[in-house]
Amino acid sequence: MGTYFLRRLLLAIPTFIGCTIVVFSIVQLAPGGPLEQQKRQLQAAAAERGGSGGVASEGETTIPPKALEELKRYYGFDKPLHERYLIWLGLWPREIDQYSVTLDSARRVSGGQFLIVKRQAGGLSVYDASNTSTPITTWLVADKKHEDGSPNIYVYKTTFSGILTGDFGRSYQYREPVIELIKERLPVSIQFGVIGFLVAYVVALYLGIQKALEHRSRFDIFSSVGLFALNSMPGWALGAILLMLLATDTFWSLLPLGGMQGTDYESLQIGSKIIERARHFILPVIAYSVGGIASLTMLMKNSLLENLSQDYVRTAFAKGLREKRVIWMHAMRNSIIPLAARAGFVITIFLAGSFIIELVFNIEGIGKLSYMAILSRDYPIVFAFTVIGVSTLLLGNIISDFILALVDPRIRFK
Amino acid sequence: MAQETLVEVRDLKTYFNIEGTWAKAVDGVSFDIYKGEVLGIVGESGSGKSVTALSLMKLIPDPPGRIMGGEIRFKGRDIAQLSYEDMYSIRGREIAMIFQEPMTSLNPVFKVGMQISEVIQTHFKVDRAEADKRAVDMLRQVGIPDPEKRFNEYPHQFSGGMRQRVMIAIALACNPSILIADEPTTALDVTIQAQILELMLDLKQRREEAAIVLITHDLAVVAEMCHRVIVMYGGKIQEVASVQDLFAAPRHPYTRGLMASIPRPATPGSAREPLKAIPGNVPSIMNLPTGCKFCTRCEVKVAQCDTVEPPLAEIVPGHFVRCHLVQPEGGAQ
Repeated sequence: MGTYFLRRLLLAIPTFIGCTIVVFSIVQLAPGGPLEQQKRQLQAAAAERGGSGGVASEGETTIPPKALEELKRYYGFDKPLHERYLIWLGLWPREIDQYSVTLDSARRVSGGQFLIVKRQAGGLSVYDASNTSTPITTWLVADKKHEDGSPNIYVYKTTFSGILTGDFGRSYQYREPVIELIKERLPVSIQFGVIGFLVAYVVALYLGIQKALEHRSRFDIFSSVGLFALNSMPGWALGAILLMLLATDTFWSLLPLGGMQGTDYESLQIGSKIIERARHFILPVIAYSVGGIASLTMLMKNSLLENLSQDYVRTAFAKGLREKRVIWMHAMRNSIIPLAARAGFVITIFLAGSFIIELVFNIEGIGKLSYMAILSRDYPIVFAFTVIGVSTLLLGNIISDFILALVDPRIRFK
Repeated sequence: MAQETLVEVRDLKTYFNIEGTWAKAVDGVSFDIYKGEVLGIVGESGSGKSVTALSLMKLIPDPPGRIMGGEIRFKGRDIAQLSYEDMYSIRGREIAMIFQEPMTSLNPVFKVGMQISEVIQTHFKVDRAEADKRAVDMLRQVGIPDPEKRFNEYPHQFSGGMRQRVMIAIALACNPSILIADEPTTALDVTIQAQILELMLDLKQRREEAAIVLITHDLAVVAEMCHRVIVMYGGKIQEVASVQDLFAAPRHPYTRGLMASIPRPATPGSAREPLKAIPGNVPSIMNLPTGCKFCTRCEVKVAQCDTVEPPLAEIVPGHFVRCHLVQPEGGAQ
């Protein structure tokens, strides 16, 4: 058992690497990256200046090639893709504290230090300005050429820092460490995810059992029609419809339009605070849970129906057990096995489908954060979301196996 | 043997509603079960023997099945009229049942010990520890080695034969008056079959009062185990006799056909005889003949067999036959 799960954990590593390579490559190959955005911003700024001064020409709006190269260096795009990936993982030295230098002239760098780069017989060496006899090794120097042939020399330090060391990088947009951005928003998404999951399971279990016990009754048939309708509609679409019906002036304005709390939240009593929160939760939770309810209900119903026709149920009746005990203990215990096996994915639920739902309800969770990050090519956030998504899915898989082994004595992993 | 009646079944009718028409799975069956006897019910698949047994327990799935008429008198009560509420105290306590499929008859997610002590706790006011103790004792009685350890194991850790032993332990845990065994050995290997039958006989000997109803299509098992035999066909009893009478002088053409279809080794020197089979198939219960139920396959039938159902007549004391050609006092054919 233990070795099985250890093996599963080890197998998760190549899967993780594969997934992240694919996302890493695709996202970076897509047009509209940060460089192009910077260009556009400069163009816009220039156009504004030109508009006021009235003397701008097209030639002036392009970034000088040297500046572009520095930007590339800043974002790390001067490296080949595989190196970038390894740097991102933290397995390849990342260049930090880059400073362009001119040969033989002192350059002030971080920490108030002055450096001088000199060309020796074997190449370039870095010296502390106060002691130019022995080269120092704490700083490295790159000897490259610009596209126009002029020397491109810069000093830098390196470090191994990437997602494996817990460094998710800095958001291009927010200029903040990604980890901080996620830390702020994760609890919000988890709240909605967990509540949505619980609602989906409670409703699905209840409905599924009732439908199985009243198989082919009017209630069963009508609820099936309703479930198929729900199943055919994405949660965010239903959310948008509900918002229009219940939260705008067009029909009934009963519930808040979005967000987590009203503007006067801080001034409320504790009781009113809870009510206020609940009012904000109703519609998003509905949107979160509908996706699961339909399929879980049918799974529950079919599972229970199937088990009720099993031989051991007849045995249980033949033993003189009461119908309640036969259904709720003998048949139910077997029927929840397929549902329990899915429960491991609870930890992915706050990611799945939360993109657009959080957008529709204006919830500041990581779904909305990543959606915005994708649109603005904020790579560090997109990659961080990929890492979280992939790892939780892999972990969810393993947890599911574990739960399955817990609830079904016939299953023992080796 | 003391012929004290335990159960009186009179004109039992159990029908199944199949797409609007009532299929007469059991159609007017009457018989008694005596204290301490082993009663065999034989017949081919679809003859109504299992439905008869399930009717005694009121375990017919409704819908589609229903007991449409008749009485099942047991200890002053009519089981056919009892509510399901009243049946809870009879099932497992007074009448217990074991089934054909030991592989699927136990709940796969509960330990076998719990499945035995559960029935004890259902019918007796004992605490968990006492019920568990009795359950271990039952496991020992049915010949399961190391019962304390096996008590805590799950059904999938048991072989088919061992599972049937567990089923027997469950059935006998409350010392029922009647044990109904519905083809208990059909799904088992021949050697295991013999062990299970031996176990049943052994346990029977320790319970003088208790009766066993053994449902089977295996005449060899009947010869080995039973005191009396009921032969069923087409939802009706065709012949009832003591096991000695039946094997010595089978009267109904169907019973004779069954006997002839038992394989026998060829006697030395004589030619190998081909194995006789009853021609044709069991008619569908949706479409039974109006006269004798066996007339479609009978080799000796006469004209009236097609139209008139013969009565179940007592031809010698204790020997009943339903056939136009078999007359009382041995005046057959």
